[in-house]
Amino acid sequence: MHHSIRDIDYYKPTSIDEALQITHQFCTDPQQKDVKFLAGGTDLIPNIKDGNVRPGVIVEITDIGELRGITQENDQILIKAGTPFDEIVDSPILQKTAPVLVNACGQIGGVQIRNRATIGGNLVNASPSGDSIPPLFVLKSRLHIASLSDGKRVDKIVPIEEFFIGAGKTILRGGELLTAVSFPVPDPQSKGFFMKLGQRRAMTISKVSIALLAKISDSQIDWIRIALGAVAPTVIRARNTESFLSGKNVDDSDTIQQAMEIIKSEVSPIDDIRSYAWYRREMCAVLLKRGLLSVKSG
Amino acid sequence: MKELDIVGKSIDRPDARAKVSGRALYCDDLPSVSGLLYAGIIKSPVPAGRIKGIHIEDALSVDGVVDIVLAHHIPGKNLVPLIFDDWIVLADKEVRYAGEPIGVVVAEHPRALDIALNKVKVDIEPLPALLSPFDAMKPDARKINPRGNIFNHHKIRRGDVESGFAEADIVVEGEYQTGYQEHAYLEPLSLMAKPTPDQGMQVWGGMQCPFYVQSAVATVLGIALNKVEVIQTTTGGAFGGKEDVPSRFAGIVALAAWRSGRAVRLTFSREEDIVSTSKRHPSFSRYRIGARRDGRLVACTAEVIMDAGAYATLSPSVSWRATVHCCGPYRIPNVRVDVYAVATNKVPAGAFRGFGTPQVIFAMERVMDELANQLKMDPLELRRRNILRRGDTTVTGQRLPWSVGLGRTLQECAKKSNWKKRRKAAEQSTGTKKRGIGCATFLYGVGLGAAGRKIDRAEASVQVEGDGSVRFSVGTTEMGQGMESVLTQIVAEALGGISPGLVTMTEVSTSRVQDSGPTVASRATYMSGNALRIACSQILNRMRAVAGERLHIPASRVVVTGGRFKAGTEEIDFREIACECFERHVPLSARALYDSPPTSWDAETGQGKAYVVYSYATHIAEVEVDTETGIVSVLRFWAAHDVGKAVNPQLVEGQIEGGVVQGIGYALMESLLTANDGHILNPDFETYIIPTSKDIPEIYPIIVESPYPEGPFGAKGFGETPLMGCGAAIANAVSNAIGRPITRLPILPEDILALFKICSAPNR
Ligand SMILES: Cc1cc2nc3c(=O)[nH]c(=O)nc-3n(C[C@H](O)[C@H](O)[C@H](O)COP(=O)(O)OP(=O)(O)OC[C@H]3O[C@@H](n4cnc5c(N)ncnc54)[C@H](O)[C@@H]3O)c2cc1C
Repeated sequence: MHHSIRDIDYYKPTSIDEALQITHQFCTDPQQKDVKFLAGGTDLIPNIKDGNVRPGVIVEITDIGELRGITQENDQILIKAGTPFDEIVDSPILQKTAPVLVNACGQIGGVQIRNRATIGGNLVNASPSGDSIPPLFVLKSRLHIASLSDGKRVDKIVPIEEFFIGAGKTILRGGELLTAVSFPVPDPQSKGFFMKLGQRRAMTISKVSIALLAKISDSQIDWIRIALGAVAPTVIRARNTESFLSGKNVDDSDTIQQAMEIIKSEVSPIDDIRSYAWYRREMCAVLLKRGLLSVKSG
Repeated sequence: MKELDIVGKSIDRPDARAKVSGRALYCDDLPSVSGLLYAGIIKSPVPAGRIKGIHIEDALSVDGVVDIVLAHHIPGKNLVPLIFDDWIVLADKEVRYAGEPIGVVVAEHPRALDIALNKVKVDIEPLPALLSPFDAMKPDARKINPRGNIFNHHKIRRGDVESGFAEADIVVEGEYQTGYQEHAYLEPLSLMAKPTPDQGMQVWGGMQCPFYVQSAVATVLGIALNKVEVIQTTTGGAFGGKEDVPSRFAGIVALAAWRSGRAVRLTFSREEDIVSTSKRHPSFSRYRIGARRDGRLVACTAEVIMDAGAYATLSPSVSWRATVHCCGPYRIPNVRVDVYAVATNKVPAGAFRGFGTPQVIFAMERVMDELANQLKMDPLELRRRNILRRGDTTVTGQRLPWSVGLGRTLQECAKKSNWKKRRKAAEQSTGTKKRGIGCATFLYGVGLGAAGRKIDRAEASVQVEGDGSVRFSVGTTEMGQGMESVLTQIVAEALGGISPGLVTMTEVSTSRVQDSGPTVASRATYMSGNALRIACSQILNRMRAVAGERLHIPASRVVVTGGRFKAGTEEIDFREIACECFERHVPLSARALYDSPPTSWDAETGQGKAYVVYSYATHIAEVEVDTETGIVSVLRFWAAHDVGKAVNPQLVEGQIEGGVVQGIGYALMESLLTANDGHILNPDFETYIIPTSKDIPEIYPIIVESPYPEGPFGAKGFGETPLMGCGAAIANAVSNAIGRPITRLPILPEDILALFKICSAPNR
């Protein structure tokens, strides 16, 4: 149903503290107006239009300078939540340290979408097909969350795998702001891979996606991390496949065949308007194979 | 023939600047008129049912709501006049598809509409919905439409198919299916109606056929045609989707305006547009084809079922065109064709670029490729041996005396694509990325043909001003296809090669020229172009007489070229003569009606001169199929089109490129899904997938000109054809790549994998 923009209160703070104060005030309000942060709006606005969410208050965070930018400190990479994908794609730091993330973010939407859409929005939207999420899984990311408690700002950091609790659901409570995502610079010897299958080549939601990060020496897999999108209620790690593969030889075709069977057994895809469960399951195996071929040859 | 000054050149589109700079006004951009009201449609929530009651009291009390209009308020007839006259404006007793209009809420502001629409309670006793044409065709099926569930059965009976097949060395059979296609034009439907002080109605909107809208509004309001003026606003694509549909909604908007005495505008959201407007007919066909060992076709039978939706609307015409085009552009002595348009409880299918032909071209060209396989013959060679050439006779018994450029399109396409080499390379491709190349040859009957004979005429008027600038009016419409450019060029040429910059087209309105029929069937260039040519020659003759006097030679000896009247070395500019004519009260305007040449059709045998002339084309697609993911990439696409004469070559190429893009969507991704409850599941561009620039290969347009003597400067219509062969050519290329027959469009990755038996074929 139509939800007019006129029914919504709108704020545009310029600092994180101000943003937290505004949201805190509404979250403690007995009227309990639903508060939504607005970043690029590429998920929120369509959701309002379709009537899936009906916020009473919108707090736009695009003017908060401290929510934008990419930095490296020692071996830690920090991406602020309000950073749009085009900045991620163009970032020399990320191109060097996390090409798997750059690759995935470069395939999100189209040029216009990447100009607006933010990594924070992608995470908080919590779609199982969010394309930045599988690479952030294999990079062992941690999410930085800020909130107010007794009038004081509280910051906490959670591993990405604890952040999602279902399709479109995260552990964030009303008024909590995602401020950044960080991860350690991966072993320079490791290689990453990302691939998504959509209904077309751009402006497309993943039917299935894979991100993979592995260290291989002399064909032997030292370690491997595999994350899959759109084959379960949240992005998942393919842990059985990972542990099966670690220590194995990537050149062994039997090994790859077995891994392909294992990965199919760890996913729980569904039929929907974009594809079928059987197709998604099969494609996990195909994408895994392509990923392994790619990381081994560099 | 005289050298041409303007026709044949790629002049800039006169409408381009306004469109790219945002100055062009679409209906929803029209400046608000005083007292403007907004309309929202009350839609049926179910695909079939009896209306028991409509409760509007709560909705009427919503702040801002002015009126709620239902069927019983209609002062004239509850009818949109079209072919069978079975199409109602507002459902009264029964609803026949989900989304069918039942009434209209009229309010002071759009915000009130949604609130009020939610408060309208329609009490409907559901009936079992018939969503498949096969169910609807069963003899004991409930009648969806009072006319019965089979709207049409068109036939061709030529020669004797039994003895034809007996003569054949090889017989091939196949069953084929195609899905819906949504037009996906730029702007959703928008219409505005405003009552005039003299009890008349003015209507504005994006549309293809102002005269259809005029007759619908007059019928619904019960007023005379001269009380209704319809003005076309900028139309950003139509592709058939704005052929018949605006008539129904203009009827509704005009009704609302009539009752309130105020202007009313209706603008659909994209979702509303997709659920409410026509689509390409889904089809099911069974083909059987027989040939001699040398590839000569001897017999063909085809049975085609088209899913027409709840009202006949344009289906009788669409299925007739499908019938004529059913057996491709080939010489076949023995033919039996049966095409049925069948009612279902779904939104009426209608016109869409190609008008029933992409479905049958897909089937026919697929079965031709299967035949080539059986014969172990190159598929292009099989076609070369069978295609129609000048002097040949079509399967409807029509002899083709001229303008048959098919052979040349085939030749050029084969040459430019390096067909033989690529075909060989495709055969040698190994691994999981399989190459394939495929072709399609096809024809297209230009204009309305025998089925539309009654309305196949067009009027034009031309007026030269005192300063030598020119304005012209036609009854056909610009909808992005480039008609305005082409007609501007024809006028400039026909007035002696004056600069096209001197010529403007007036906005299209039903008041300027007489009913000129619809802008469909690739008919605007040749119908309006011919009418303009006649009108221009009348004016030019009068100007030539004046010029003769000035140049002291008989009018007949005045040479007119490059916008100048010439006698030897002496010459006078067109503008100067115009000025003189003006001062001397020489009439400088003229009107002309062009009547389409005769056509004929025998409904029992399907024999006759179906169309005045045909356009021809050959398409070649090269694809790569990823056999592990099922994803098909079109690598290159060659499209050779015989257009008679390319009035504006750049526009011809633009039409080819646009049509191919739309055809790639039809072939590989566009899939509109209907739920078991009759609702469209994906009425938006997030889930109804059309190609992006990244999905488009290099497209090579090839223009072939085989002049049509009756056409303006040899031109014949072709705007629809670039889409028509894409499904077939791509399906043939994919079949070639994977070595398995494709039998269904669109070809989704899941379908390809199903062919490799990873899973049974998904149901759609
Ligand atoms: C045409 C189109 C194509 C798309 N293609 C893709 C694609 O290919 N891949 C893909 O993954 N996605 C795609 N998307 C979805 C969308 O663009 C992404 O999910 C994007 O990252 C969302 O970011 P945003 O900044 O626009 O978020 P918004 O829409 O502003 O916000 C999304 C949600 O996150 C919340 N939020 C945002 N920032 C914060 C924060 N810092 N703290 C707390 N809550 C926050 C908002 O309240 C809202 O609930 C597409 C969307 C469109 C419209």
